Amino acid sequence: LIENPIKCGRYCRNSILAIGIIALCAVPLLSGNLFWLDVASDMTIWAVLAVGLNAVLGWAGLLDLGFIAFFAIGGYGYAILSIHHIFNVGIAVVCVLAMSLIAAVIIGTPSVRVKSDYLAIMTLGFGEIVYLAAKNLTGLTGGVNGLFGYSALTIFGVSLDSNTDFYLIGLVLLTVTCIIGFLVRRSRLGRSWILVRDDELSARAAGIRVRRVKLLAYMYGSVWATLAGILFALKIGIVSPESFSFNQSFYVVVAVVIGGMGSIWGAALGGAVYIVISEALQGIDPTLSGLIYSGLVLLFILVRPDGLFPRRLFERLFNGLNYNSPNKAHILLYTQSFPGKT
Amino acid sequence: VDLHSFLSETIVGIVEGSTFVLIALGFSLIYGALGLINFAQISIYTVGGFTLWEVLKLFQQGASPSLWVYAVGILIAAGIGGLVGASVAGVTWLPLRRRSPLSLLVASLAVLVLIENLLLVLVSPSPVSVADPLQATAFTLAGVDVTESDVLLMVAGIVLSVVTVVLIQKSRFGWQVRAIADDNVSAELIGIDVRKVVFIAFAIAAGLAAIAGALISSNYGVVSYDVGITIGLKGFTAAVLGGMGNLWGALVGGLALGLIAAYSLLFLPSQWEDAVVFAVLILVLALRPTGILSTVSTDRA
Repeated sequence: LIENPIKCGRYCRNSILAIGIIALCAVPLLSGNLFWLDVASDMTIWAVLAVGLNAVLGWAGLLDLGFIAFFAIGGYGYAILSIHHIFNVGIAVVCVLAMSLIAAVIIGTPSVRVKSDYLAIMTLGFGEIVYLAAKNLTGLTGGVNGLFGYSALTIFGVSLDSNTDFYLIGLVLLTVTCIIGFLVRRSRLGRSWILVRDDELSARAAGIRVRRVKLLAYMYGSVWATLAGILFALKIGIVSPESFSFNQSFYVVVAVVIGGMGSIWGAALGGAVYIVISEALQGIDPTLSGLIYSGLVLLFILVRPDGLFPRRLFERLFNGLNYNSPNKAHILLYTQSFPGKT
Repeated sequence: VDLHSFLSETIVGIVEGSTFVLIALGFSLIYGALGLINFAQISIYTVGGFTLWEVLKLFQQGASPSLWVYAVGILIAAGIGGLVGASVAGVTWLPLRRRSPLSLLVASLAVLVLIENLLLVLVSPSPVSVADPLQATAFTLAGVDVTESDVLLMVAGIVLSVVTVVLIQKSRFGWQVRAIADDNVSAELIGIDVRKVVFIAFAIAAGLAAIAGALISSNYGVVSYDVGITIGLKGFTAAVLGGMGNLWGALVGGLALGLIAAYSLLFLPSQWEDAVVFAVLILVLALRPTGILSTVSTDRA
């Protein structure tokens, strides 16, 4: 390691960054301030949502406008199963995930067959149907009043119900989301998503089953939204339709766009920034939120499609010394698997 | 289900279908011309409704405005809607047309939310009631009172459909639009000012949406800044049902959707009507993405 200054430099920077992130994550814990913990756990939930949607929107290029529906299925599914004591919580989580995946297949299969802008409309319709179901199936979902009074998550006899617990679960979930995200992005599937997004015709020519790959992206995103939804339901203690309206779907898109569609770090940051802005607006004027978020999206799309995250700076920090940076190697890998495309 | 309620739901469905026709027209026009879905169109509907409300307020015509003021209000709504539509093209289509379709889609979504929230902040955060001068019952069929305003909706739906078809099929502008729809680059090569034509197409589509907004808002008697998504999604469903880009598609799809929605009331409580419409949307896109009118499958969808 010492003999290779380039590698050494990279390890140094990586570890500095890792320590920095861990330190940053520890701040709310150390402060012990309930409000900060609350906001921080919201940030992890939204970061998970954004990183999940990032795979659908940023990588596979599918504008999912009903993403929050899976968040709703997660929240409501957990609440319903746990209120009626149908299963213990662990099995309930698995069941909810299965339900969500089935919904993703049912909606995703026809959606990926049509052109991508139709997919946006179809998912929007799906989101509205789930929202209306939450509102109108009064017997099951409690209608506009919502559902509350369901049990907390219990692991090995320890009930996880404090703000600290939720924050820690959120951090773990976010870490898992990001790590799996990085792995998937580098896998054959992840590379296929990018190619399908950039050039569907070449993807087809390269032997990629476009529809299947798109459906997998949709399902992959739904898993994280469902898990985030379960955590959200646990944390907030009440699930009601207004948490799952179209606006929320739009806000996840906002988070991904702010992060620069396609970047895991960016999406996580975008989710956190969304919470920061919305908390700040609570103190000023909550009615301005729609204006500010939509303005931000326009601004980023038009002026800075790379998003908030300073990608160039980031690359210089990490790979500046190393000519064969992971990113470049990755491009090489990409061109090798799909010859003729640079 | 007895015959009488079936007939009365048919009347209700035709009236409701006319509103869908009006909203679907703008979607069809832009999709037919440019092959893109303009979400911002949805918000122009709301702009139209609020413009009519402002005009009626300006002339102090509370409960029963005169027909002249009403007509002027609708014309002003169409004009303002057209201007907003052209600016939308300037903000989204013009800078993003050479980038990926995805960013255009996201940008038009952002403009939708932006305009709605501008209305929320600048005009009114709560629903406003729009007066309707045509509340008198025109005739009664199968126990359903059809008001003059309903008749106006139906007439407007048919007339505007015909006008749009004639405009696209007979006029020089329509010829240019079809050329651009066919092949953007070649159209530019033979000397069509693509920018100008697209701006005009956006303006016309937005004008149609604003007229729809003004007429429907006064028919319903109310408009609020956030009605767009639901109503826009219904109009979109109508356009898809009839076949996007098919010029008669809006008319056929709108009426068909109105009937489906009304008949669903025979079996389901009314709060499920919207869900039925969205289910139709998903089913149509899943089974027959080119719409019910088309005989050949295209790669458009």
